[in-house]
Amino acid sequence: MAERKIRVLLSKSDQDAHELNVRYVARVLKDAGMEVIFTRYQIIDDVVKTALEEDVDAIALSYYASGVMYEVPKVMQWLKERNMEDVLVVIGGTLNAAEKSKLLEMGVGAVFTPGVGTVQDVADCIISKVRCR
Amino acid sequence: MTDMFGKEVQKENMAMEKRWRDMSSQMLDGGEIISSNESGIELKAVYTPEDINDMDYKEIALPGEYPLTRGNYPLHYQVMPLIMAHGYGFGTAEETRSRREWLTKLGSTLHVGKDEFTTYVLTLDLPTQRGFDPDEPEARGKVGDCGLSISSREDFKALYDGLPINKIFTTLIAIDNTLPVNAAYAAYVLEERNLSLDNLYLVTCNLHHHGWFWDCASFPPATAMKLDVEFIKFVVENCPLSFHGPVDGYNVGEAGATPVQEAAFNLAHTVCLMEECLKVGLDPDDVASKFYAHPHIGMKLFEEIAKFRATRRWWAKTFKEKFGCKRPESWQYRPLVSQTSGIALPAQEALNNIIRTTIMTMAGMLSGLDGMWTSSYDEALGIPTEEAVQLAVRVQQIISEETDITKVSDPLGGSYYIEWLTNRMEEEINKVLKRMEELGGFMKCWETGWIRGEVERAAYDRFKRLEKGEDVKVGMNKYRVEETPQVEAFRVSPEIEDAAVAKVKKYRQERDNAKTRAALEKVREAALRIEKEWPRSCGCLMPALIEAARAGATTGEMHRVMREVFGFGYYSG
Repeated sequence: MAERKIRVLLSKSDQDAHELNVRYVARVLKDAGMEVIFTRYQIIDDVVKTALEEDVDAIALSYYASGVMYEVPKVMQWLKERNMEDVLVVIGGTLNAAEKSKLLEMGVGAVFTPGVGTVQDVADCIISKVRCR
Repeated sequence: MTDMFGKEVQKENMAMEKRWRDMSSQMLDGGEIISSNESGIELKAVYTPEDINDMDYKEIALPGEYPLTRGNYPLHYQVMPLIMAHGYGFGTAEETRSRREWLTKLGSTLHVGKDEFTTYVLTLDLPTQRGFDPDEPEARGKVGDCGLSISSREDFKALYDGLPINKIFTTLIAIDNTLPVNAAYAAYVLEERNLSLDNLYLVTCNLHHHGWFWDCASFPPATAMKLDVEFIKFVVENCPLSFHGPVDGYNVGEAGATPVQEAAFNLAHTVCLMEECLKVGLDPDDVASKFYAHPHIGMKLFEEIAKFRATRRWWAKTFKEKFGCKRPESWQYRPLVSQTSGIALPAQEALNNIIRTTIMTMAGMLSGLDGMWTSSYDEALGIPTEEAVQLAVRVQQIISEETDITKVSDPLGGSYYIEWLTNRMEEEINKVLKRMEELGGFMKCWETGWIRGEVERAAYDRFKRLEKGEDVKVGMNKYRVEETPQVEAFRVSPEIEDAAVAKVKKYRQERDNAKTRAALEKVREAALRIEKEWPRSCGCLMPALIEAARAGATTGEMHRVMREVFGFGYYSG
């Protein structure tokens, strides 16, 4: 039986216009053989709802700083409440070292920041972490 | 048409060129140099009189002489210093005002004749830009974070009390919330300062900043255009000291557009906006004489200079010939807030960005731009720290006051390369404009998502080149070392959000809510008239918004009424 394609919900707040990089990430993930559901959310609540409906393997969120420390804890909590803890959460954005450690402590699978690694690393990370569950 | 250079010069030049070609060919073992610029125009290794010989000298002319290729004014920096238009804003009005005081202390002020002006180029936070008050669910976690939070005319008190209104150059980067936020400012001036609106020195910010090339939620395209025209009418008729626009190239450049695309899309947008203004009966000179631009400046120095010269020439010709404008101010492309590229500034080895922004600022000044916003080196990490913005101010001051750049207007004018490239940029810009006409015009290109497609393709190509190392980013994809100085990113404390939420809740409790509700109804009626009775109804919405702000309405409440009437969503293909 063929392995099902990894499904990724790639999402960004619809208030934030800094979407140049996340569009590129979407393309690289697709080129790596994943199914990408790209959404813009009005409130963070929409993300977990969509993740459930779309039966995704991973949630990837993009931030230009604004809102990350408020929204990600909520996402992690809701995933726990819905028994969706095996959904990988990865975060990308303009985050500093302190924010990055806090996010990893919360159970976020990986945090990607500008200049560190390549976009292909994001794809490779998602593939390896999802396949190893 | 006569040749620019005499026959003798041409003959000697051809002989020299042949010798040059032979010598360079030897250096390359018979090969050739193949290079092109950011917009894809092929470049030679050197330029000669031959490259511009068949040009009409009158197309170059002199600064201040139509078609203004060399500059809008006979004298520029010699008598009018560069406008320092650094944008800033975070937290609430109090925090932002303290950043304003820091900038003034650094010498970042605007001199108009003998007067010293303050510049408030205010970036507003995401909830404010999108029309949400701080206490709404959509604002959670984002209030005051990468911009200033504004929800009512109260916020303007903290920013403006004690300052002379007619000596403050204000830009409110409010995007979709442009009309309500400016209405709140107008309400502050009328109610709290008892001054008339003709004291406002606004440098406005149009609201469909993004929707036509980025996939983001906004008003429907036709509505966005109407709202822009509504705002232009308000400015033109009430605020004679103010400028409207901007003709925005910066954001489409940041989305990945090449310099040619940025200029072309920008110009197509302006023509469309101008035509809509004429449809509602505004006088062409009244509108055109007050347009200003917010262009992008990238790292390809000479390409940017040629882009600006080509744009000035195209603008002058279009406003004089197509729109029949009579006033010289109407023919002038006026980049009051030109901004150095943000995407050119990586996080890796962030201090290198001081060098990059210096180069981009030099490109702007060699192009004779009116005003500039030099980005800070921590662009990829967050909004500027005090230290980073200090350096951004110093870049402009050092170039202006320690070099000889401001002594001579259009110093590169007459350079074979620059004149040739100006012509080529103009040709390529015209090709894009022609394509857009063939596709049905600017609005059609917006609504079908054609512009977005072009920009996404350019952005993707750029990424691929960076990944392959064809485009170099020193310290990031070439000469990279892991030991780099740590740069602290600016962060706003979370207590600011609580303060903003408490403030707006208190504001709503203390106002006359019946009065506010009635005024918001009037806004709804005006919005419906805009929706159904355009162009006749142009001019009815801004007054209703100002009255609502005077009656205590918050910007989020006003924006919500507008969303309910006009719709708000994703409309570009």
